[in-house]
Amino acid sequence: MNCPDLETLLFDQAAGSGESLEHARTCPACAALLEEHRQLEKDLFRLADPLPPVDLVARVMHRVAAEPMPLRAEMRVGLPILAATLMAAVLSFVATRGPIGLLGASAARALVSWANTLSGVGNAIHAAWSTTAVPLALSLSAVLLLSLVGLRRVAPPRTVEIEVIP
Amino acid sequence: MLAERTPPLPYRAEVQAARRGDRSAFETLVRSVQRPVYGLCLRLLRTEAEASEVAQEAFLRAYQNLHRYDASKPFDLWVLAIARNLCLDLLRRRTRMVTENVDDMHEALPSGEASQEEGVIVAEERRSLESAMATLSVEDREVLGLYYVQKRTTKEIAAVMGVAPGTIMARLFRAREKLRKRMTVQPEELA
Repeated sequence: MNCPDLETLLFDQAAGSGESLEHARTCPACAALLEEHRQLEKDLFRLADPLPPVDLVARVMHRVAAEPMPLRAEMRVGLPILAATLMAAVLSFVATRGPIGLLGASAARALVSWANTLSGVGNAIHAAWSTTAVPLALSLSAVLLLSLVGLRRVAPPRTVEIEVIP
Repeated sequence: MLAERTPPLPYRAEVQAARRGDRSAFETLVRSVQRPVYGLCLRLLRTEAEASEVAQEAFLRAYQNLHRYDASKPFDLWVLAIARNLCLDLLRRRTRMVTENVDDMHEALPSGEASQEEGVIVAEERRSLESAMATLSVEDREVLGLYYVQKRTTKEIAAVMGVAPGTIMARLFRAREKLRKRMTVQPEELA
């Protein structure tokens, strides 16, 4: 029998049985190889990690102290869920004023009602424009102008930095 | 070979307390896992200053991302994975040729077991083993360090390295065979 490849030999050695181990019993070369690996494993298992620097923890905690408190995972997940649930509850209450099963019918009623309202507002604007177009345009312009003036007074003045070159 | 075992998750209470903002709980966590984290960093980077810096950075990243930590998995493996990624990033960024001083490694990676009680010959054997390991690639050093030095299971190593657990044993065997060959080389040739 030819010698098995090394990986098969080592897998069988780890498993504790296998054809390759049977072969190794009669093959001095494979037996020697397995023995070398067994001894190497023994030596490797004796190694240990070095001790870290004595000030490692202090250094880490010094840097951690400068950090903001970690946001809790529950907060990150829980708050949006809570907000969405509350919003859904309020909407269903407002829309149905009753059991949530009536939500669809209430939504349809609200849609029809809003459509009627929008149609009424459109008609009113059209009627106002057809009868008092000029005074309406002047009034709107005056309101717009006054709003702009008011905004300019409220907004802080812009400061321009001038670099003085000696 | 090490038997596969279920991770005991010993740091759950400390992690929960740290998430609530208890910094002393986080300090306890750092104390508990600093040795394997620093050990892995040193094994990969091979310089004490860089290993210390990267270990600190790994703990800081862990603190900043505590909300992302999956509490069903071992905390130490999570930090080890962060540290490993930082080490690999640093190794990629290194522009200089990797010409590590193996003699420094002898001092940097002593065996943790009671060397005073051991004979000079055994201590010397360990030094030569560390020297030979230091000549291996990052991947080989990593898998050997995690398996033999830190006594991690193949599943744990796979979790740290982000690979399939089934690949670890093959990697381990290949790394061990390379190490065996290096060990047969004379020390002068290693230097």
